[in-house]
Amino acid sequence: MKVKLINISINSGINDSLINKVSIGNKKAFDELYEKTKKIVFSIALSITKSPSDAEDITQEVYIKILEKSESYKNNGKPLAWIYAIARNQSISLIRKNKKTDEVDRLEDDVRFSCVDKEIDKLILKSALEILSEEELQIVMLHNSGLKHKEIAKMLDIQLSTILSKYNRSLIKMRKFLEYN
Amino acid sequence: MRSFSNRQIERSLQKSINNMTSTEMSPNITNNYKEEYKMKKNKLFLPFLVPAIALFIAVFGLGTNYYDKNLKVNSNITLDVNPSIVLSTNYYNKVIKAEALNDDGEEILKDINVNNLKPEEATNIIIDELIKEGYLEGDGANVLLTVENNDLVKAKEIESNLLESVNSKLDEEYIAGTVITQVDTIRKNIDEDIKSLMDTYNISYSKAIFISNIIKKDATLRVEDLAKLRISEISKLLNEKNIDISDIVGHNNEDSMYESAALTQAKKGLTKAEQAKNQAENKVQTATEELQNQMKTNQNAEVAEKAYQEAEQARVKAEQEAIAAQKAYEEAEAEANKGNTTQNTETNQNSNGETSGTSSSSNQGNTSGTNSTNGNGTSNRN
Repeated sequence: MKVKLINISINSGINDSLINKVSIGNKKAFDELYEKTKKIVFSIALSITKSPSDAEDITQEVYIKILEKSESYKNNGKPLAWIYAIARNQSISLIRKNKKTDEVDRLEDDVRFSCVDKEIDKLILKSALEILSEEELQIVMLHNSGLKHKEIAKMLDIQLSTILSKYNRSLIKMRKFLEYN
Repeated sequence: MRSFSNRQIERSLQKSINNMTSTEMSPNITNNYKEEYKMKKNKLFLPFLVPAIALFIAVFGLGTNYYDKNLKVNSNITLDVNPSIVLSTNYYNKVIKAEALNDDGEEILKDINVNNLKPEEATNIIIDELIKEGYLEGDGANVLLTVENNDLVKAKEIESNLLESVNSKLDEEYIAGTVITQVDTIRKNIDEDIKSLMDTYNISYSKAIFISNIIKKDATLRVEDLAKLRISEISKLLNEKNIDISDIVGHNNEDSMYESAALTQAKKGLTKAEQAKNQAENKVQTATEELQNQMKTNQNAEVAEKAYQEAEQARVKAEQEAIAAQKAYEEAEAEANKGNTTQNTETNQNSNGETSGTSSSSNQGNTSGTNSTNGNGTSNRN
């Protein structure tokens, strides 16, 4: 008999079982899910809206949606992709709503980035939001929110090599921008 | 003009993300959620009330078709580890009820909801819980699955799907063990002896059947002793006593549930070596990424290269260890197979004098020679 070689599975600690527990109102499971994914959700929202305050609101909305929709979650072993879809939809719907009601707040940078302590960090974040495309920004933010390149590739359904090259290209872009500005 | 390294940019972004994601958010969300969700549910309730009543009347008026297909139990799937759980499924093969048969089972079901899932999905979630609670680890990760359905073809189909799904789930979790399956029709009248066994020892129907069949094989074994044991412990005991139950649960020719200690040990070694190899491969990948980054910035490239080389060396070592572990496993397995061939020759007839249904295909049920168990299968996981 041949012995099967086991492939290591990507393990971000988020699995179907956790979503399942959330669906039956398990508060502990929800807190665990929240702690493990809040940066990811925030990063997705920020990449799309490019506004930290909108991203914060969207993050709240996303978790309410997760609670509502967890019952209909299909156990397909891709909970991060499911969360990504919710976060993306919420972000797009907020952008549409803002366009319709013309409620886009043009806040001063000091207010927009008030939650970031240091000036240098503000500068780097602003440069990322300014010069990177939505996809590039998503990859950079997701990696720096704790996801491995492999996990990002699985979540966004993009080749790992593409993720790696886009990530490296984005950092080069940022470095050049920061050097000349 | 100021220059930045990739690392500086990454650290800065990580810090910003940490600052921007408030830790206070979670409790607010749950509080808001409770109020908002309740309100939404209330709002949703009224518009749906009238159609719901209409639907109820329609369903009621149309007879029992809806009941038969959606609410009536079509199959019972019992999962025994020691926690015992019965999943009842409907005509569409969706779980409509999950019931614990003992306190351990209740503890497992406490935090999960498997209703409306396919049996394979439901068992996977239950297995996640069993692993988390420590019921499926070490040498004896044995699971007894019993599928009851009046249509034995359907029962076999469910059994086969479950066997495949449970096997691959255990594979994913690096758990080595045996999945034993039995197929039966839904019992209407339980044999008095089996019933008394179930009531006296508070065990599931499937475990009672399993034990009563084992007792027939060896008169020195006592029901009261076996009833207290977990499936894995029973399996171990049978192994120690060299009792062949292939005619009770069936087993394929390739695999046997009787593993020598050496085989179990080798299997554990192989799993560990595979894990180490995978970890080493991941480290190499991380080091490669870091090296790529550093080479682009010309900063700390030497350090990164050294780290990469170390990771690569570790990977090569882990790979060699995995190859050695696999070889050891194959040798132990060959040894175990030798023993099983002898054992099978000795016990090729069941207690009723019928030819045992030892199957040549893995994961498929065999015709059992016992009165109550119509078919069964065993799969050894490697």
